[in-house]
Amino acid sequence: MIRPLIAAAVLTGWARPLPAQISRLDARLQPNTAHDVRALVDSARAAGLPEEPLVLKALEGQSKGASGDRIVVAVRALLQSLRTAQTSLGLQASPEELVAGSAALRAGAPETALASVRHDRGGSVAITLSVLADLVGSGIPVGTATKAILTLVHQNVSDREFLQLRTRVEQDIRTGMAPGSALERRLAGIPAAGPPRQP
Amino acid sequence: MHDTAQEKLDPRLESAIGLLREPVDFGPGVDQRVLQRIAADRAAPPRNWFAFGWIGGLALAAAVGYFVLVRDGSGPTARSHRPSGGEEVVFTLTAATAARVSVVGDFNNWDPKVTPLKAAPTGGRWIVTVKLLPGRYRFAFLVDGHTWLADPDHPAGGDPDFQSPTSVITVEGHSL
Repeated sequence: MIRPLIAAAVLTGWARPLPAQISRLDARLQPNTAHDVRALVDSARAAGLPEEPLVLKALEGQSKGASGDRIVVAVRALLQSLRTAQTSLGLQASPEELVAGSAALRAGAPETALASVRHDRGGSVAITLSVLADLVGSGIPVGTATKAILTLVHQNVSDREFLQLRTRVEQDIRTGMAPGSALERRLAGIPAAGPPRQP
Repeated sequence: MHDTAQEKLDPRLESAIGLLREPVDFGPGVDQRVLQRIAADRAAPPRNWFAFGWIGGLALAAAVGYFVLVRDGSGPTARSHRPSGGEEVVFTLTAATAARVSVVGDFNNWDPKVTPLKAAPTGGRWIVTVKLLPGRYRFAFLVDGHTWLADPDHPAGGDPDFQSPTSVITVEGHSL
């Protein structure tokens, strides 16, 4: 009888934040900032979104000497991107997928790209979206990176091949190659693993 | 038809046959002595079992090795150092004039005190090894407590929240 009540409380956001999160926020943030961040964390929990990235964002801001207001703004922006990722990926999306989707969105990927990856790729899309975010972070224009990722999704390449692509593109960039050229070169080396998936 | 000359036995063979045909005297009580010897051998430790087991073990290992390594077609393989439940990641930074360097990120609550790098004897290199569980981590180097640097060996975090460089590392795992 108790377990269903606890589960219901957690799902409805009624339960209090985990003690570890409270102690970390209270120990590192000003009281007003910690209060505001806790409210955002509560919102995330109520929506079924991962809370830990929000706590870490607040701690990152504190470590980097950001003001309380700026920390709250950053946490709120991250929460919004997690919400958007959830809208694009679906309520069944895992925390890892939501974090990767949020990173891709914040890198500049359009919401439609997330929805397409979810629709066209079987299994978890965490690696796919993480690689998309990383490619953009490496300097590849977001449109080019998004198009490349969607092409590979349609070719049904594996997660390992996505990670290898990212690693090799980074290697080429470190040797002085332009990011776009590095991606183009490495894409040519990936054979299709299977028949294209039908959208 | 046989040649009669070929049917005649060699003299040495005939002598040997003659010796074997002679009666042999084992002495009185031979039956009793044989039975006592058999009983003693049964009671004694199996002296040759060890040797047989050692040789048999080698044979068994060879057979298992054959099926595992040869029949399977894989053979011995080199493996990266990936402890169960995570991966050991080496962070390095070249900062010749730095007095102290730490790596700060999602994996240590962005606490600059948790993961300091150690200075190599020469070359201005700083290094630390961190065990990370599978996941996507944002991080940066903090030099002398005030300068944030991205890791040139990893993609940029691309996060404008706090206007400072960050990098991203992804540790592979079944859940990611």
